[in-house]
Amino acid sequence: MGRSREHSESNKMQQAVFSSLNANMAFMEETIGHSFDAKFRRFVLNRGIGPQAGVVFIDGLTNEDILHRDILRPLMLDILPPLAGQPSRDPEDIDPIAEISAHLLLVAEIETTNTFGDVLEAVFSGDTVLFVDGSATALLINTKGWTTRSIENPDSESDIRGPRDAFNEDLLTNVTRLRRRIKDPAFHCESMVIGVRTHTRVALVFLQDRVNPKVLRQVRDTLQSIEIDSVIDSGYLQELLQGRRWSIFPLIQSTERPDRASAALLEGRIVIIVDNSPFALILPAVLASMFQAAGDYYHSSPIGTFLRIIRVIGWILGLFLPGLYVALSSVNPEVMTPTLAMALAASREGVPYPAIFEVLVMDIAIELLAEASTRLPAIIGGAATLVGGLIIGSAAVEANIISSTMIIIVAVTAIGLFTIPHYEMGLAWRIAKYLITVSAALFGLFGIANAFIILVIYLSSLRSFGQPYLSPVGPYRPGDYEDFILRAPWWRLTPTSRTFDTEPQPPNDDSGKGGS
Amino acid sequence: MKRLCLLILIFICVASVFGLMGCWDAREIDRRAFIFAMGIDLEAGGLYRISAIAINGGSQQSSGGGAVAAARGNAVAAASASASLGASASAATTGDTAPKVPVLVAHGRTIAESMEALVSISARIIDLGNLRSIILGETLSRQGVNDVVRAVLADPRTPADVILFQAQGSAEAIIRSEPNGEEHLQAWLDHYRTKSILDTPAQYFVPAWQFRSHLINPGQDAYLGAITLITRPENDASGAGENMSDNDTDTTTSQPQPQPQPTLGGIAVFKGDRLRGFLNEEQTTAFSWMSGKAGGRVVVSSPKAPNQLTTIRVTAMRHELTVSNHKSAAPVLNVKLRVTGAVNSANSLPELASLTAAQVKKQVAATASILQTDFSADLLGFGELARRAAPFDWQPDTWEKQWTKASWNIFVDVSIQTFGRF
Amino acid sequence: MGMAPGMNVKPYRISTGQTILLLSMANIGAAQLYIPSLSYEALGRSGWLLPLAAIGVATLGGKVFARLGSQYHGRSYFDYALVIGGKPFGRLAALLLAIAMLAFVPVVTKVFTALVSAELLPKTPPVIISMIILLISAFAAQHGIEALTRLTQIFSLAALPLIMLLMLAPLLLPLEPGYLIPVSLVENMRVSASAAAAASASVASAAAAAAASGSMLSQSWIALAAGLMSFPGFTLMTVLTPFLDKPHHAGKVAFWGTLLPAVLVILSVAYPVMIFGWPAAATYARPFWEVLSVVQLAPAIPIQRLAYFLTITTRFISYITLSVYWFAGAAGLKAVLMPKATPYRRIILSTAPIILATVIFQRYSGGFPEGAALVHIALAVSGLLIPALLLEIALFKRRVQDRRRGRRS
Repeated sequence: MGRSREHSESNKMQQAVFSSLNANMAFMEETIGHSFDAKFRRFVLNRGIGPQAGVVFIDGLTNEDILHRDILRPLMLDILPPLAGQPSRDPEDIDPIAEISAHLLLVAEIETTNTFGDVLEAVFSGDTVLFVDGSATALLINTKGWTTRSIENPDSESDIRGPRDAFNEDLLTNVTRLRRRIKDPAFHCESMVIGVRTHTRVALVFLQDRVNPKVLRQVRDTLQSIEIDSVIDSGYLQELLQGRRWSIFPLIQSTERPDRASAALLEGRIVIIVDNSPFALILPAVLASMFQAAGDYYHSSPIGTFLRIIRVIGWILGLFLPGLYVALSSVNPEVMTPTLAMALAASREGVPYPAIFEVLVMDIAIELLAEASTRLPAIIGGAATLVGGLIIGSAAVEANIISSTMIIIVAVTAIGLFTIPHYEMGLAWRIAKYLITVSAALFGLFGIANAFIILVIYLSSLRSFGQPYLSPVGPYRPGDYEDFILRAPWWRLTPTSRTFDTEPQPPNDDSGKGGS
Repeated sequence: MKRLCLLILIFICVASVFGLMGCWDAREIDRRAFIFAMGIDLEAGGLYRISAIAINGGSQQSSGGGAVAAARGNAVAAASASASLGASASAATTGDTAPKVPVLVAHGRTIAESMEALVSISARIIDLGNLRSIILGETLSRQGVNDVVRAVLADPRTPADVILFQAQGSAEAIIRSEPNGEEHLQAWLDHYRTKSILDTPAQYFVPAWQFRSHLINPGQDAYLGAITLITRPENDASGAGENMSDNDTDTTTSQPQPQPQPTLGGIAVFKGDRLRGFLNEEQTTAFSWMSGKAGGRVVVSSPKAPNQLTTIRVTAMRHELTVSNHKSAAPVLNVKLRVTGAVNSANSLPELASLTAAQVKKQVAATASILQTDFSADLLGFGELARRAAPFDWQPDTWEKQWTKASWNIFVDVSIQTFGRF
Repeated sequence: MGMAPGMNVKPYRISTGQTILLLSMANIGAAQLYIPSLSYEALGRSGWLLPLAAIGVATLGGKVFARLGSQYHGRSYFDYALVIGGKPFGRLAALLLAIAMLAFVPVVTKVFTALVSAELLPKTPPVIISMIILLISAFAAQHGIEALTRLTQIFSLAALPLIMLLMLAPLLLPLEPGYLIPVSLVENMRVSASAAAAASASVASAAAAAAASGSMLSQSWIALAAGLMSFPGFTLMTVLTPFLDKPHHAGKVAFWGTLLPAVLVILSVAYPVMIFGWPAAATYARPFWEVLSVVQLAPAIPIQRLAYFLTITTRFISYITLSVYWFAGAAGLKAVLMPKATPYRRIILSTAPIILATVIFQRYSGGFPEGAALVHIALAVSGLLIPALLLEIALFKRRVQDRRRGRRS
C-alpha cells in the first residue's frame, strides 16, 4: 500500500505538462488542492482577448505584491500584439509562453518546464506557475517572499570583536552573506536538491582557484549519492558526509558565522549551506581548526595567541583534571608533596564514596545543568542554573556527599572545556574525558597516560576528506605552525602559499570515502 | 548483525575484564595513614622494633584537643589490633603526654616482618610513599646496618630519597618527641632542612642512597646526621640541656617534666656498616668545611685583646683534597681550604684573616685526627681519590693500612669581607 | 582568516627527517629501559662505552640496508631477500628477522611491565599491565606505518623536550666524574666480576649468581655482544626503505636515528655511576630511574617524583617502539608466509596471544629480562650479519652479470 502510494506520487512527478489549461489546473488541484494555502487563479490574457491562463501559488511562500503588480496586472491588462493577432503571424508560430515571458512579465527570474515535478518543486519553493491554454510548457516565475528570521547575532559562537551577523534559515540570504564578503569571480556556488520528500536545496560554495578539485569532486559525488527521505538540518548531511559513523570527533566543522565561512573559503575549503538551517558546514576540518575562534584574527597577534593558549590550557585542564584528581587521591598520592596530600586527605575525610564516584556524579550533574540550560527559556534559565549550582555545590559539600575540592575541580573542568569555540568538538572532549577519568580510577597515572595515548592513536588515524586530522602536528608541517597555537601577524600570513594541495592524501585501507 | 554481535561480545569481554580487575592499587586517600618518619631499633632479644609517625586526613582536620582525641582514637585502634608473629602494638596512652600525632610501633624478627606487622596493626592503609626520614637506633647501628638499609630500600614502596638519621639512644624516643612549635618530628625536620645552607650543614641530612653508596663503594666510609634528645629546663638560657640520649622509651613516668626536644648536633661516624661514634657540633662543622661546604662560625680573639671575641661567619668554602705518595705505606693527605668569611665590623681584616685561618686549621686538624685515630673512618673519600690515581693498583685492604699511617697537610687561606653598617 | 592549519599536506612519503625521528623513538623506547643494566654487566663502570660503540654498529647496519635498498627500489628486505638468497635461504633469512622483531616485543613489554609494576602499580598483577600494553600497541600497529609516523611526530613533540629536561635534572645532584675512572675495558671485566660478587645489595639475578660462582666473564661476553646491538632500530629500515623518499639516505638515517638515543643512553649509564659510585650503581635494577627518584626539586613545586614523570613520558615512546616492531614483524611474516592481501590487523591480532604468553612466561630478574640479550643477538645476526651476507651475494651476482654482459658486447 505504502509502496504503491509512493509509486503513484513518483509517477505524478514524471507527468508532462498538458497543453490544456483545464487539464493542468485539474492536475494541480488534485495534487495540492487539499491544502488550504494552495491558491488557483484563472483569467484571460490580453484584456479578455487572448487565451485563458491560470496561476498556481502557495499563499505564504509568495510575495503577493510581485504577483499582483508584475504578473497578473500585465497579463490581464496589457496587450501583446502576437496574442491579439496583430501583426499577422501564423498562429502556429506563436508560442504564448515565450511571448509572455519576453514582453509582458516584469519579473527577473523566469524558467520554463514541461514536467509537473519541476512545477511542484517550484510552487513549494515559493514560485508561481503560469499555465497558458494551448501550451504544454509552464512558466515558473520567481515570486519567493516568505517571512524569514532577520539576521541576528550568532548564538553559539559569540565573540567580543568581529561581525555580529549570523546565518539564518534562508539559503539565499546565507549565500548573500558570503557574497558580500567575497566579491570575486572565482566564487562559485552550485546548487542541488537533496531529500526525497523535503527536496531541500543545498548550496556548495567554493573558490574555484583555491579549492582542491579532487576533494570537491569527492564531496559533490557524495552529496549526489545521498538518498535520504528528509534533510531538516545541516547536521543530517554532516553525519552522512563523514565516513566514520561512530566517531565522536567531528570531521566537518559547522558554523553560524558568515565571516568564519568566508575565511574558510579563502583557505581553499568548501562550505555547504543547507536551506532551513542556520549552520553551514565547512570541510575539510582538522582538529586544530576547531580550536580557533573567529576573534583570534580580529585582535592583534599577541592577543590572539594569548587567547589560543588560554583555550589550550582550558582544554588540558578540562580533559585531565578530573582524572588527575582521581589518580592522585586513589592510586598515586605519593606524587604529591606531603602538604598537598594531607590537605586533599583532610578535604575528603568523611566523604562516603570513592573519588571516582564523586567525580562521575559531579560531572554528570554539570552535564545535566548544561543540557537543562539550553532547554530552559531565557527568562528563568539563569535563575535555574544558579539554583542548581548552589544546590549541587553547597548542599552536597555540607552534606559530606562530596568534598569541597571536588567543586573546584568540576568548575574548572566545565569552564575549561567550554572555552573550545566549536561546540561539537567541546562535546567530544567532554565525552573523552570520561575515558580518561575511568582509566585513572583503574590504573592511576598510568591509566591517564594510556587513555590519552589511545585517544591520540585514534585521532591520528582519522582523516577529514584526505587531510590527516592531527595536522599540523602529525604530520609535522612547520609552515602551518604560524597559525596553529601561535597566531602570526598578518604580514607573515600569506594565504596564497598555503592552500590545499592538488593531491589529497590517499584514504586509509579500511575506508575510502567521506570523512575518513 | 554479525559485526554488531561481535562488537557487543568484545565490549562485554573488555568490560568484564575491567570490572573484575578490582583496582588493586586504588586506595582512597582518606583511608590511608601516611608514614612520614620511621624509627628502627634493635631490642635486647634481637627483635627489631619499628616506630612510625602515621598521619591521616582525620588528624589533619582536627587541631588542638581534636588532634589529641584523634590521636587517642588511633592509638586505641592500634592497641586493639591483634599481635601475631611477635608483632605487637603500642601507643602512647598517658593522658597528659599523649602525642599530637599517632605513633605506631611494631616488632619483628626481620625488618620485612616488622614492616608487615606495622601494616597489619594499623587501622588504615599504610602509605610509605611520603616517607621522609628513617632514624636508626644506636644499638642497632653499633651492630651493623647493612641488612637494615638494604631491606628498607629494597621495598619499592619506600621513596629512594628518604633521609637517614642516627639516633643517640633510642630511635623510638626521637620519633615520639614533640618539638616545640611543630606538629611532629618530621615537620620539625622539614623546616630545619629548608633553612639556608649556611645555617644548617648539609651533612646532617644524608639521603639513604648516599649512605648506601658509601657502605657499598670502597674508598669512603659513611656518616649520618645525629639526632639527640635534650631536655632544657625553663630557666636554662644556654641552650645546652640535659642529653636524653640514654633515656629509654618508657614514657610512663609519673613526674611531669619538660618535653625532651630533638636536636641535630653532630654526625654519626660509621666504619663499614657499624657505628663507631659521634662528632660533636664543632667537629661536624670542621668536617663540613673539609667537604667543601660553607657554614658555621669561627670565634677568634686577637692576642692583643684576648677578651674581645669576634665571630666570623663562613660564607663560602672551596676545598681541594688530594693524596700524595699514594703508593707508599704512609701517604700524605692534603687538605686545601679557601675560606670566605663575613663579619659585621672589624678593625684589622688581615689579622683577623690569619687568626681565622689558624683557628680553622686547628679545628680541621683536630677533626681529622679524630676521624683517623679514634674512628679510623675515611669520611672524606681519600681512598677513592687514591684509587682514581692508581685504579689498577689500588686495593681496599691496603688502603685501610695506609689510612691509619697517613699524615695530614692542611692549608687554609681565608679572606674576610665586612657587611656591617659601620 | 589566514591559512587553515594542516591543509597543505603533501602526498604521503616518509621524509628522511621523519624516519630519523621514528628510528630515534624506537631506539629510545627500548634502550632506556634496560641498556644501562646491560652495559654495567658488560663493561662495568665503563659501560657508557657500549652505547658509543653501538652507534657504529647501527650505522654500519644502516649502510647495508642503504646499499640493498638502492639496488631494489620500492621493495622491502623481506621481498628482495627471497630474490637474492633464493627461496630456501632467502625465505629463512627474512623469516628469522621477522621473528626476531616480533620477539623484541615481549622483551620490551616485560621490562615496561616491570617498571610500571614497581614504580606505579605494585599491587596490580603484572599480567594485567602487560595485557594493556599489548592491546594499545596492537591498536597502534594495525593502523600501519603512516599512522605510526604521525604518532611519532605527535608524541615526540611532548616527550622529547621532557626527556631532555629530565636529562638535565641529575645535574642538581652531586656528580663525581671521577667514579668513571678508569675508562678501561680490561679493568672493568676484572672488576665487575668481583664487584658484583661483593655488592651486598645486588638484585638477585642469574648474573650475580654466576659471579659468585666465578662464571661472570661468559655472562659479560653475552652482555657485550648484546650491548653492541643496543640500538636495533636500524633493522626497521627493512620495512621503511620502500616508503623513503630518498632510499639512499638509509645509512644517514640509521646514524642520526641512533645518535640521539645513544647520547641519552650514555647519560643514563654514566649518571648513576657518577652519582651513586661504583659498584653501587650496578646494584640497582633501574639505575637511571633511581637517579631521578633522588633528585630534589624546589619545595615550591607541588609534584616531587621526577621518576614518575619520566616513566609516564617515556611510555609514549615505548608504545612507538612496540608498535613499530610489531608492525615490522607482521610485515615480514606477511611477505614470507601469507598472501599479499592479508591485512596487517589480522596478523597482529593473531600474534598477540603468542606475544602475551611469552611475556608471562619470560623470567625477569635484575635489570633486564633473560631474553633481552638473546633477542639483541638474534637481531644482530638476522638484522646485520645476514643482510650483510646477502649484500655480498647481491654484489657478487651483479659483478658476474656485468662480466657476462661485458663478454657479450
